[in-house]
Amino acid sequence: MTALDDYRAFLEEVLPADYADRYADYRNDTGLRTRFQAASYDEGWLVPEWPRELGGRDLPLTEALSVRIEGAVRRVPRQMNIQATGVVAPALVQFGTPEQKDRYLRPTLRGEAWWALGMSEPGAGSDLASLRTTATRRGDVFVVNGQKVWATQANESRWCTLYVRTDPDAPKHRGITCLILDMDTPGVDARPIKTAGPSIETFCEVFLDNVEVPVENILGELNGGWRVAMSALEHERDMIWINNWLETQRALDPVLRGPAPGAHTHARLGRLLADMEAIRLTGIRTAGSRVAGEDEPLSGILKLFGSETVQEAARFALEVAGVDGHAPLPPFDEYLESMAATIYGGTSEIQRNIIAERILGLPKGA
Amino acid sequence: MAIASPTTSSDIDWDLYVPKEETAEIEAAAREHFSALFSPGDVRAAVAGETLDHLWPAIVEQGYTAIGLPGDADGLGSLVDLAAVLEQAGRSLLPVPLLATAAAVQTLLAVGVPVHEPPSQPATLARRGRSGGWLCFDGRSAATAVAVVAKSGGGCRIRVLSLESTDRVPLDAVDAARTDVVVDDSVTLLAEHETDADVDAVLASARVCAAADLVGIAAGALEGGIRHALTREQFGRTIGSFQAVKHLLADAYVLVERARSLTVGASVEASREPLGSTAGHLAMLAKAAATDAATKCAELQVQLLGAMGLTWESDAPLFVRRARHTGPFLGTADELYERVAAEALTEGAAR
Repeated sequence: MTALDDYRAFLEEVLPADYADRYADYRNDTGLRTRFQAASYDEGWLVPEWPRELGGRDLPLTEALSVRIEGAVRRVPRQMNIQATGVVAPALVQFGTPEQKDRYLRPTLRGEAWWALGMSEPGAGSDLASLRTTATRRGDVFVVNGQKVWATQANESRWCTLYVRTDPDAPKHRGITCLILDMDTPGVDARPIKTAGPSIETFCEVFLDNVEVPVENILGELNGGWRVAMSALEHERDMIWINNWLETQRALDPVLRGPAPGAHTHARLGRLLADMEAIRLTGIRTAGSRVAGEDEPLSGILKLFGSETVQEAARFALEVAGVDGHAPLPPFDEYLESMAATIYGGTSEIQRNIIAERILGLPKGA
Repeated sequence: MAIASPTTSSDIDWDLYVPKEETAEIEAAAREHFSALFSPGDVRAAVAGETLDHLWPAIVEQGYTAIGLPGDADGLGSLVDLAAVLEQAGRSLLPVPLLATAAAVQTLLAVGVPVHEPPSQPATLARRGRSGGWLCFDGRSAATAVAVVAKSGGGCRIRVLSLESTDRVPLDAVDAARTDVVVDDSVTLLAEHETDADVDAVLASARVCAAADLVGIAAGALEGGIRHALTREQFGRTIGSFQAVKHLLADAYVLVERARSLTVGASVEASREPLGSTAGHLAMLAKAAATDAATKCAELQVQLLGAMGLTWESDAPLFVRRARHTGPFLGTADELYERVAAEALTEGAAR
């Protein structure tokens, strides 16, 4: 039995018998989503390439990737708080103390405790390093004051990775620290922002008024927060491309299965099919290179290419569906949601700068 | 089908996607050899119509026509290796018909026609001309041409034509180094083979070859654009430090890698299951994507070079000519995208 066979057997066991036929109905079944994540973690399938003591199955990178791709094509139930496993858990493994790993890792991966990412501020979006939320040491605690924004699910989260300025005199990248914030601490106020449509995941502004955070809650090093933030965005690049690939398929599904659109749409649809296959093959190529021990700059294009493709697929599906002279609601919601893809986790414009500077070797701009 | 099906897309043969040292060595050797064998000046002359037939024996002697052939035909390496070599040929704008020859030989191999030794003479692919006869891509010096013709009830015929004692009419070409020729119906038929596979499945390897060449053209043009952006100064700084320029180059790079990934995928699939429908569809998408990349990158290089890019001294227009001449070979981008989409719609409706 290969790992893939084992995983298929696991899915057989935990998913409802009619899941494959009715996955669209199950898409928003929060009970199933929660149970599925816990069961996946318990069997080591949530992070299959991680060591067993951290909750994985010690699988080689390639087999783990096959498992993830299988999960994607079977449209397994989505995690409720994706940044917990995608961004926070890998950061805990890389930067956490043994005590922090002990305390946070299991409930985080199991989906029992949700996380918010306290990064953006009203004045610090793409220029994250200009953040101004301050943390001042007072005895055994930091006293935090400031405001975060666009923190997805912050109102429902138990904890938050909070990026704060701990050294106002240092160059801006070197004075930032990452703190683990308990969202129940007095002085924390997370307020949901009404989004442009129901398909956009709730994001919040978080007000921090003399919030006390124990000193032992530093994740990584004091003033080493920029490194934590940057590697957080590097983590789970495989999950990002698999997700983009899947979302593109999902957007095109109604077009492919519904009434055939006119011939004038075919070339554009073909381009999207090429994009979709190219995302998959680029993801596989990058993994192949990592196995060969090569430094692979190629993965730097996956965020830009994947998110632009998802968006174009949703745009296409909306335009194909709207032939009767109006934009129908379901594809509009998908389209609106897809607009987030090229914004969060580094906008497309920032991605292009990164590609140009780090991969193509062009000089930094003014 | 090009759309990953739930039963197969996670069963990845990972070994095929881990870069092999052998491929890297062949590719590096080709790159070095091509740059020693001819100069950009030679390419410029060839594109203008001067024949460089004297370069062909060197290509044969160095074994480039053996790459991608089976071992019992004194071959070396796989279709993946051949694609790597053809990418280097594209990048250097190789002015002899290695692409056409490889595409013809790979087509014969795909349908199981035995190839006993590496070809010493150029060959090419032919298709039916608009008013009869056969149109042969880059066929000025080809000894044979392979034509793949659909049969009315499905499947196709593969005809091997001898061009040696035939009048060939050269067509005016934007890239005279790859002049197409037309021969009439009196051309000698050397052999005919049949297969149940459809034309697109039979042409998968040939399209991989064309895609690899076009990816090379794209990469070469992009390199030229980047080189210029790193040295040319305006407003007191190199133009590559301007975001407007960076973003154009970043998008072009994505187009190149999009095409390269599809080409790698198609070459792996065509080696794994020749005549399979997955290989056929992936090769169509790869060829379409490579055409997009080659034409976009060639145009971008001209734009970045400014007026200099439109002079006969510059290499930039050579890339434009090569991309525009080879781009439509084995199907224009839109044609291929359209066909894959139409088939995906038919399949989707059946699900």
